[in-house]
Amino acid sequence: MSRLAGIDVGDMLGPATETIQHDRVMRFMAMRPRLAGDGRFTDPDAAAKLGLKGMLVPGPLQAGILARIVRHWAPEAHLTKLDLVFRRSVLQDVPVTFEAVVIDLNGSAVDLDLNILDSDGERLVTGSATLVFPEG
Amino acid sequence: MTELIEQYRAMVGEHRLMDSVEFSETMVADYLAATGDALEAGAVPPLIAMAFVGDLPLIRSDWGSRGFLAGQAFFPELPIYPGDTLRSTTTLVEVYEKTGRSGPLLFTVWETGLTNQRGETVARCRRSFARQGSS
Repeated sequence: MSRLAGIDVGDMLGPATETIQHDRVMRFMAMRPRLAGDGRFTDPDAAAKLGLKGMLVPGPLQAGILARIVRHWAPEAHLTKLDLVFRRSVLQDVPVTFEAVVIDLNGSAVDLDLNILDSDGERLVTGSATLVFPEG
Repeated sequence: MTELIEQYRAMVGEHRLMDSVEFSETMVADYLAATGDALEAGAVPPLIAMAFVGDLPLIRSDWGSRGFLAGQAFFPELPIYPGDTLRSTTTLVEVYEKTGRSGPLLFTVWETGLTNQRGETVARCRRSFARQGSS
């Protein structure tokens, strides 16, 4: 029986709490140095001068982690859409919670709502994803 | 700000072929370490391409004191493998203003197509950037 048959609206992924440490961000930045820009991702002093509470996690890295969580939940499926709204900053070295819920089933496609939450339950990032399962 | 917005709107539809990027093993290893992910049947996690969509060529910091990525939608189409070379073409598709709690915000929306070395489209994405603060 396909894994898809066992999935229903309301099914949850997570919640999973994860801390994105500075060294992980630096690995990301090593790959994409042009993002370094004003130092908000790499330099605590520069982040403070920008009025930030700490160094930020780049949006594409947040997206990559959310995509990992979704893909690992259903490794046989293809991720065909990941759509995110960055509402608030995600800080390095501060625990955040990733969660997702199945909101719709349409043939072989599964739609999910996604969130990244801070420790107060405030939504830092919201969005949606679509996974398409192989037929049969 | 109105004049600047009109100036930016005149650029809607303009596009630029960005630099190409080859996904070396080192780059892939960095990405996997950063995201905590792994290769899947030899393919790189698709969102790696998002990190290489490229800088935005047309509008920089002409207005506002702070800019940020407000949203992104990413649509993977084909697997990406270590050693692949991707090219991206980015087009400005929308410019608009909004007033938030902190004052006026200027949004620019960009669409990017990513192709591999065989000319196949591997992903598309749509990103919106906001600038806030007084000029």
